[in-house]
Amino acid sequence: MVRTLKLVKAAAVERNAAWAQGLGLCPLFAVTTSIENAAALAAASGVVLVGAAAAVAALRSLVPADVRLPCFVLIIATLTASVTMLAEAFAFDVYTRVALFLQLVVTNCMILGRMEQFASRNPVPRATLDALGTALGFAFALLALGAVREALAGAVPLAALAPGGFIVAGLLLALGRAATARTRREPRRARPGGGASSTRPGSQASA
Amino acid sequence: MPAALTAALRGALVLGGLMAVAGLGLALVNAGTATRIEENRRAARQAVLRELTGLDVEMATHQNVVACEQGLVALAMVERGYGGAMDVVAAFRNGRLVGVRVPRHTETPGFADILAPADWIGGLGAAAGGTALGGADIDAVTGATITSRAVLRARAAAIDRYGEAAPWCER
Repeated sequence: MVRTLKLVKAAAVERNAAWAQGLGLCPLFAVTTSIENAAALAAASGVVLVGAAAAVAALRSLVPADVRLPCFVLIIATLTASVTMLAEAFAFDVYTRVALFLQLVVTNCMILGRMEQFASRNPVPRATLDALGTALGFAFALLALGAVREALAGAVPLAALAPGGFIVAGLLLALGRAATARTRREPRRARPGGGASSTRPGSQASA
Repeated sequence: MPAALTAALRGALVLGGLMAVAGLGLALVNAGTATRIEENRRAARQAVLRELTGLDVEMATHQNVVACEQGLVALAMVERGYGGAMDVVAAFRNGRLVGVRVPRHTETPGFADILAPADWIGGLGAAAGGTALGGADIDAVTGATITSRAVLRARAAAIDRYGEAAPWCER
């Protein structure tokens, strides 16, 4: 039980796809103008992520290494198309607002990244839990950004636009870094030029 | 059989099998959702027309005319946008263009945002009071050039058509 929680927590917090690894940021900025949109995209991404992770883990011994990426993409694309159709049938209002980004879930590198890094190397239960944690972390990132932007939009109209998304995300990121840096008690090294770029491994930014 | 060939064959078989399963799954989901999706799209089209005309109207009653009631004439034109044919409805009240809406289109999501009543298209009616394009001095909307031009073409065509439609309505 403790191990299970640790696995989920590691995926959701320490290796948070959006904040720690800088993955999946494109929908993050585009859709998080309100909490409702953010929740819809988070739910869709979560369903695809968990479903694909379970499928990839189940098929991992069957799929040869040289065709694994096409297989992952096929699984992710099938799930995305299904979620899109289900959303248009049963949640039309939300669908009309986030349709573009729902379809783009398939290109979210965070999902393919988890398939390659974790799901294809672990048994189904572990892969599913990791996907669940990653989805929760992504949902948290989307909802936090959505909540702040929606709250600010009334007073600062810029917050609802894309540039505002970048600024709010940057501030939240700085806040998160500051909070984790304190708890880890990292020795502070003076960096020449006070570089804005992080030196932590795996912090490569990507859309 | 050489090892490389066996490996390639195995890869092809796995990928092919997976494709078959995926295709079957998508066909099932499509079969389960198609009617509901069509109903939703239809309702959305109706809502656009109701918002514009205040009436429950069906598309294309007589040629381009979709509604004529108490001085209100609504004409539906078909224009080619970026993603294919789109329906453009223009409503006139007492000879004045009151609004333009697009109830059905296949434009790229995101770029089609200008077609939302609260967006660019919402300002098209009030600006043009006459029979010519005048009023709205717009060639196209940056970022959605083809979509916006199609709407403007359809609006011009509707204004042209109004001359024939109005007498038919009064009859």
